[in-house]
Amino acid sequence: MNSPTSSPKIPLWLERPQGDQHPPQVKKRSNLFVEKSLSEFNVFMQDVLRAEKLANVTGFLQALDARGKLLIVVLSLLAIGFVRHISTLVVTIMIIILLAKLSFIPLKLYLKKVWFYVPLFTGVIAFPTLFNWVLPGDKLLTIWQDYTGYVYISELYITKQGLSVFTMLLLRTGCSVSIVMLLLLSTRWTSLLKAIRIVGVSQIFVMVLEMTYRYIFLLLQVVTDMFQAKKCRTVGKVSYREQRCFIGAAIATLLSKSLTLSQEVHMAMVARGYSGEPKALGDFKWGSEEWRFIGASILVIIGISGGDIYLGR
Amino acid sequence: MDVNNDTETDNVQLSLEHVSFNYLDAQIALKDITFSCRKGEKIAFLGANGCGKSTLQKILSGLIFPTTGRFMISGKEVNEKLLEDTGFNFWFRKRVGFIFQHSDAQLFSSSVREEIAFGPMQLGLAQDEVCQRVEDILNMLAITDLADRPPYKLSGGEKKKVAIASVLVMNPDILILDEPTNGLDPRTQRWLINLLYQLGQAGKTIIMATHQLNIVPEIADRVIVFNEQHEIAAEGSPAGILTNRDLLLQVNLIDPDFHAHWSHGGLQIHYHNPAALKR
Repeated sequence: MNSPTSSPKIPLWLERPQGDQHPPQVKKRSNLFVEKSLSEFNVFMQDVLRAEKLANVTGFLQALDARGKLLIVVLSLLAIGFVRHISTLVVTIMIIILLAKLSFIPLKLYLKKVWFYVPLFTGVIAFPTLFNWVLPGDKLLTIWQDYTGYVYISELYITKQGLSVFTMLLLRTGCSVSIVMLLLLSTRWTSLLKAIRIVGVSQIFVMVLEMTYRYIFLLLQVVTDMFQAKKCRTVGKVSYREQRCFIGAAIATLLSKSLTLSQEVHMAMVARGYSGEPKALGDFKWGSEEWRFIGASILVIIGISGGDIYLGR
Repeated sequence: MDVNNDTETDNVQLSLEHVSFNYLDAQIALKDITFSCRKGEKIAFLGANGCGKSTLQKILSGLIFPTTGRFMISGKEVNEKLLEDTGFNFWFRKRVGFIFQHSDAQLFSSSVREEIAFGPMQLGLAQDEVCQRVEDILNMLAITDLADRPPYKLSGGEKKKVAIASVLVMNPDILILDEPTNGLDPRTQRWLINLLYQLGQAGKTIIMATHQLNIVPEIADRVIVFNEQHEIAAEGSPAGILTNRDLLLQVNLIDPDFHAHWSHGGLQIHYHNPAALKR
């Protein structure tokens, strides 16, 4: 009776050790798709955690209600749209940087996030406006000149007006992105989602967004586990065909898991009384600081817009 | 004798009469299940994987409905149509709390505080009362420090505590738990067993599905064993069931190394593995 009848019998090959001999050196694998994907997942998680950490710091903007901040951001974006002078935009950017500093947001990270991408996208789009071919104007810098007389437009140069439009567009976009980025970095994502209800977004929509955000992490964890499991068992070079097969299988598995999960989440909601109309805890705080912030911000916006009007066309 | 029977009938809180359940009208999950549960009773469901314990718990929670047979709560048959009635739905949800096996499915809100507040808010309690209840539960389960954290940042044990808090805050009379000790470290398991014992003492009805035989005597007055044919194989006291080796072998819940005996004032459950003993 003592002998366990259900004990598995281990085959001989399973008892054989692999040995300590090192393998011969082979050239580095160039096909590192799984490793790259894992690294990207990791970067995303780190970004999210860093943003969450910043939003929880006890800084100037972090201490304010998300609704007030959202309101001021919307007003500021509108005001920036009407600004006509580069100097006004430069002053606005200075104020934004000061607010970031007061909110303990690392300036290097903040400026990199804004001023790396803005020139990359807006700059590329606005680049042609620099030249006389697109926007004729006063010559500032000659790029190319044709002396042969065979070319229809004989000169390419940067115009004063073109440079002004280009700089204006770049600064206006940068200024708008800076404000939005400041809001994102100083506010918890969940508070921000709730705050969008003040612009009339329905509760159910906000709830779906919140749940999407929450479950992205769970599914990301599932994907990371899948990729790590593959990495653990991958020896040697994997062909592109095999990689495509793996991606297909991973997508199918993830879809199936997310469907099962969504059914279970729905059941968990129903079990706790959810009947189609969600009710959420209103955990906003609105005090004198919020009124002061809104008042001061409106004054600054009026001041900047007034200054811009004063400078004239 | 009649009087005793009447009292017992009055005390019946949940009952199932010849309940069967098929997934997609083909895959059998439960076959002809009949049992009843009295107020304040603590029942453990035992059975191998896939025998239908979780399905039965979902029926008892009013999340799915029997293919055939009847499920009654306090003498009233629960069906899909009745649960569409807002009044009955609220009444039922206030009384029956279900703690899912996978806490991740249960924790869908963006912070622990909102998660715990979700149930009472849906039941229409005033915001002040909800906040008070949330604070009380956070203190009771000693998870106040987790209140503002998002659920994805919690450990397995913390998630389980929050899942329990999110159900307890609704003060249900009947608590249904699907393999609650799964994946918990020994210390958190112990914490959970003590909590269930206290809730039992407070008069809650507890219905729990588990694979962990060693905790059954501590948390159950009665055990219902399911076989792999999705039927009830036996019903009895924890001691009676756990010492019935043939029954447990027959339902594939144990292997021949399993050993249960009375010693040190209690039922000792362990495994004798001769291969390990030789070392």
